[in-house]
Amino acid sequence: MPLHKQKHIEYIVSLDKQQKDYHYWATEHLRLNGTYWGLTALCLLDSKDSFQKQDIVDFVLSCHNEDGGFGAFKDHDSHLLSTLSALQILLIYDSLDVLSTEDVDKLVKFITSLQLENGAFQGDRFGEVDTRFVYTAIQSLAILGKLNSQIVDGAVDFIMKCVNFDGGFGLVPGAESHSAQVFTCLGTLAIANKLDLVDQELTGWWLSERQVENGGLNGRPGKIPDVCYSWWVLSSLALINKLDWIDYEKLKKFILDCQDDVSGGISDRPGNQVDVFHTIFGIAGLSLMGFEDLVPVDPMYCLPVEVSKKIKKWPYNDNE
Amino acid sequence: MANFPIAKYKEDKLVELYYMTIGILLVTNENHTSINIHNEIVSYILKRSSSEPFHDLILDSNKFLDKEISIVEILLNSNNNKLNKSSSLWYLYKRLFILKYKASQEDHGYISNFIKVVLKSCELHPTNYYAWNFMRWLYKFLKFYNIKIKLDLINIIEGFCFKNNNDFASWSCYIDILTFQWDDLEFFKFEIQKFGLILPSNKPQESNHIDLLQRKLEKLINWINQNEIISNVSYESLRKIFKILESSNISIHLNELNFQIEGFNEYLSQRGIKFSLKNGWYELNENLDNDLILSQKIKRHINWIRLLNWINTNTKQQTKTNKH
Repeated sequence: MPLHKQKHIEYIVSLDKQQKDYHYWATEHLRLNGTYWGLTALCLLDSKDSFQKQDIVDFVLSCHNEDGGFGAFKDHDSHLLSTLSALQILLIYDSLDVLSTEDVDKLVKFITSLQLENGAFQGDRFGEVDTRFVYTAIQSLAILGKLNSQIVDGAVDFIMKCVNFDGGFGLVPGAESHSAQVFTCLGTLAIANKLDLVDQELTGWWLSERQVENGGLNGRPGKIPDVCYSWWVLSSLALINKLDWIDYEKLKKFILDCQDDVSGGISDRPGNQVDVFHTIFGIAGLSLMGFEDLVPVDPMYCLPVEVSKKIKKWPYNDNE
Repeated sequence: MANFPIAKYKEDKLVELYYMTIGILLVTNENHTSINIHNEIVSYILKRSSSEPFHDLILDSNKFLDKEISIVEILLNSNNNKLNKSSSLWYLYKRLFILKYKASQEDHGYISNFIKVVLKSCELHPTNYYAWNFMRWLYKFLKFYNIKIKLDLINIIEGFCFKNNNDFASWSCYIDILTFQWDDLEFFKFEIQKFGLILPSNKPQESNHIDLLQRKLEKLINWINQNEIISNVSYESLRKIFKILESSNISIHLNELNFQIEGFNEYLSQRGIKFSLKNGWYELNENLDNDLILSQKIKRHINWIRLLNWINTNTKQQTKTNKH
């Protein structure tokens, strides 16, 4: 089956035109994340201009809150997850300058105020701690060029406490290994330039076992495969230079079989309802495998390589 | 990070907002704004309950905490997978457990209900990551505060695993509990203090941990063989036990497994059947779809080989089995 690029572009563009649907409003709390997923997918399909830049930037700014962070929609509370999506979108559009120096200072304060004594981050004032939030905080600060030793070292210490005997990582120390958490942990370590701390053979073993007979990747042992793990597992393997531990041809077939060849979009498994979450991570997985002429994606940031090049790499040479 | 401005609202409006958040929680998961407002109204009502109680029929009384716990339990025990695996709801449930613990002094009868809710959620949603993580946390809590309950939690979890042999989350929790170590509680203690609890000064002592683990290992290997388990989950779950016991005397188990594997390899060789291990699957040189019994034996055989390969590479133990 071919990759239905044009249909996927049309599907993504159509998502913001469903304002009469109940589902559109029931997913309001994911809108900024969804916009990032859609925009990044369009970028990888080399169709960034299918979204109207000014409309998107205006929407991002409508989610900006007094506390410096971004909510998922206008009048939603700030959270690290939506804050990272906002910054990724602005970076893709070369529009970080819509934030004033004062805005950036408040934003940095918002993010760093969520770091705990043990180096972990909570997602917002609710207090939930998860390696997802460490990654989103560290990538956000990296985009802003505002990492510092204290923040990075604390985050790295916490991440290394989340590694398990099997080479996987969990959401907190002692939690079950999970492919998505492996990505957030390796991604954090990669941004912190600390991947040398990882037993890469053991982690690669656990990750490569995620590929099952139909070619798809699962998140944990015994689970059925899901397209989103084409990103979480594959990007993790890319970060430790073990992409070739996966059977590309089988995985490509699995992802392509999950396409809706009529209306576009990619689902979790063949025959299921498509959504933008699985669409971006299916396309990003294909991009990591160098599929056709897809725009290359950076496994560290889930951004087009051309975009992530703009991020200042840690450790900074100037002031650290 | 300003909290929701509760003081601005009159009591009747707060009651309406409280009910509204429940409505939103029923239809969406991970709506952080709604959960924040809900959580902050709950905290406010609980603080007021003794000195200045609410007049609303539901919210007025010291039973509000129990009612709030029931509402969250309804969400966690719903058949909507997005709700019963919601990380935010499980975190909220943990907060409510702590509040209940603080309010209950010496009577901990409520804990069995928390356990039932977790198990129900895990039945509704196989491999429920956050539910089993809550169960791990609850086990640590009981150990740490030396709380005795009528239920035998290890046996209950073991029973769940034996009934659900393809549920890795339950098996992972079970093995973590079997291999529990007092030295691994740094984050648990951190979180407990974050919730405002005081750490107990005396550390309870364990005895014969390794002996217990060796007996459990033998029991699990026998269970897998006697029940002819096909799923790879229980086999993979043994990796952690072998890793922990790597310096102990476990060669008897490894020798038996090697003997079993060599015997079946010889049988396959006589039948002219060859297999090759791939990432998470394997390939055969002939189609055995019409021989279900042999196909299943091969699956079990390969699960043991994968386990021994892992032990060979990742522990100090060395077995005779060759990699395929």
